Amino acid sequence: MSDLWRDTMVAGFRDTVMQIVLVLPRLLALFTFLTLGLLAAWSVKVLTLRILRTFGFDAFCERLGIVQPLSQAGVRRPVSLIVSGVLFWIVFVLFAFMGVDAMNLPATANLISQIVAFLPNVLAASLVLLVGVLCANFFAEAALIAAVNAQLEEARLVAGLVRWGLLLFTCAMVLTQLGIAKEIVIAAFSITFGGVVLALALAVGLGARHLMREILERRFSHHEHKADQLSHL
Amino acid sequence: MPQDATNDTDMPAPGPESTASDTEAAWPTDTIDIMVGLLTLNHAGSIEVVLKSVVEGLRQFFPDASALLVNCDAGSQDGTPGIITRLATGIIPVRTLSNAAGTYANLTREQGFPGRDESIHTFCLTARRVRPKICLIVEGQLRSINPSWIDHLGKPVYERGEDYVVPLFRRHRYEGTLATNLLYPLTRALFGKRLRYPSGGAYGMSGTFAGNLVARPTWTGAAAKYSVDSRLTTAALAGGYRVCHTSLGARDQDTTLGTVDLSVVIAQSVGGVFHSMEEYESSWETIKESSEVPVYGEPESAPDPGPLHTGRMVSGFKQGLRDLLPLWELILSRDTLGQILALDIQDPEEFRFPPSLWVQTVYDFALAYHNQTLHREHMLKALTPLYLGRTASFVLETQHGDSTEVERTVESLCREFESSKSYLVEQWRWRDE
Repeated sequence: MSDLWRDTMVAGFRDTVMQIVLVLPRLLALFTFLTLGLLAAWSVKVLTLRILRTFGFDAFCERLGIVQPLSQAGVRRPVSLIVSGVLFWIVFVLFAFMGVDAMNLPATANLISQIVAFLPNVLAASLVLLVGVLCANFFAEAALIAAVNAQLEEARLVAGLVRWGLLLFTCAMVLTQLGIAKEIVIAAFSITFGGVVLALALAVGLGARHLMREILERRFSHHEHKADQLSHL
Repeated sequence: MPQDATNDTDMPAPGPESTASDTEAAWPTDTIDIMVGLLTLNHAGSIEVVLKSVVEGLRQFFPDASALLVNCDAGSQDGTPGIITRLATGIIPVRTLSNAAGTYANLTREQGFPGRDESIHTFCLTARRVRPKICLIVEGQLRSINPSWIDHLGKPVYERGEDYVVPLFRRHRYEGTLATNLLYPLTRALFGKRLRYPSGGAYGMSGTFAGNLVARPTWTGAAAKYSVDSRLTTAALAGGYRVCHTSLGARDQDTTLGTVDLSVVIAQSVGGVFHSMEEYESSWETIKESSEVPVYGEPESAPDPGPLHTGRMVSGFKQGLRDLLPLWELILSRDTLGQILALDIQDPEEFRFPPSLWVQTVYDFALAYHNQTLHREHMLKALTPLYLGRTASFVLETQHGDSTEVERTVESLCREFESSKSYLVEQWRWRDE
């Protein structure tokens, strides 16, 4: 009995030690990859930042009109910093994946190949997101200015609807591109968009018909407000 | 024949259906004294009056001059070119040039009709080829034209050697507030000539000036989005051409093409001047004073329009202050914005937008345009509420005076623009460095 107990204990201990001995180099490899990744990512970040600043990348982006919509979207950092930050994370994540792959875990066996296969979708989705956000800001700004110049009291509401409508549309496109709950996203978007249009039609046609008549009369009647209409040129 | 020309009625006066081939020989060169450009787009209703006045004016005031009538048509569907050819047959040589469809840079114009810019371009291309002594441009919707207009537009060029003749029409004291409060003071401060911003309708030009206009890079690209009147005027002023005014009396025109939104008017006319600041940077930076330009004929004033209500203008300004503040923060300097925020808007009847603040505002917008702080069209349209505020203040300041009082206020504003120009030049150079 005691021999059996001793053999079991020894075997357990030996197996555990063997497991640790086998895992330790992999763990070491993971930490090495993470450390190297941090160093490489930091180097890439610093180098990119210097190059971009030397060539006046921020001023160039300002001239292209990229800075203003970004700042309106709440991103107030210089574009060079954003680009170098993105590169930092790309390099670091690549090294991290190498580390995870070195662990040789069954759960992550095909992780790298899966991620590489998925990358085009991520890139396309990122591009769609970027264009969508820029468009949403641009058209919201245009709508705001037009509504203010038409002296619509609800100018900011109009601009907000344009911005969020376009952002919603962008999100739906991004999720579809990524293949996340494709059917649900399309159905949800169709229902929401159709619902909004129907609600607006009802609101205008029934709820606010007098107001709409007044607005349209004011817009198209050449007789009203004649007293304060000037020939500007 | 210019590239845009698609239909050419051969000389001396063929039937409306005849078409000549596009050859050098088909166009007279150096033999024409006066070339009249008749700009049309569906003006069948008014073209007969206009054409008769032009022909009669040429007969009365330039009896010995050789003349050529060029109808630059922007795509009429009502047979306007046919009417012109029929009426002019046997009286005056006529050519019809149609703009190529689908080439319009902008269908909505601050004044005139769609395709007017392209028609003027076509006319200038023809002027470069024909090399006439005088070029006259007349729009087909001007019902109030009479034969003396040909004399008033042509004689300053023919006898006095002027290059660019801008008409002064009869106006009441508040007509053209954008011109009196912004375009005229700004161009005067920039280019040093007291030339009122043109309101379209008709022009007189020397053949040299009209031909040289084609060489300017203002007919394509970004510049083509802006007002052609602004481009003609700034080209004449910056190019050192001799400019003058001529008084033409009342302007009554066919307005069936509808009215254009104020923000579009501002974007195109003000944008045109701002664009010219970049194009002619070296011409305006060193100019410090302004001088009068000759005025031919006696400018006339129209009867007072009666009381103007400024309520909607002030409320437009208030709304801009409430909703466009984040954009104005990007465009205006801190000092200018601080002063605008401090304006008293409680009582619309007591509202005032001081001239000095208005000048600072306009200069800040010009700098923001140069610096591309915002999308340019958005930026120009964001000026509308501020302009409404200034216009309301202008009306309120002068409502109890007469037209002399209005002129005094405009003159004072112009001097403010001139005296503050150093701020504009300094900031412009600083941003360029």
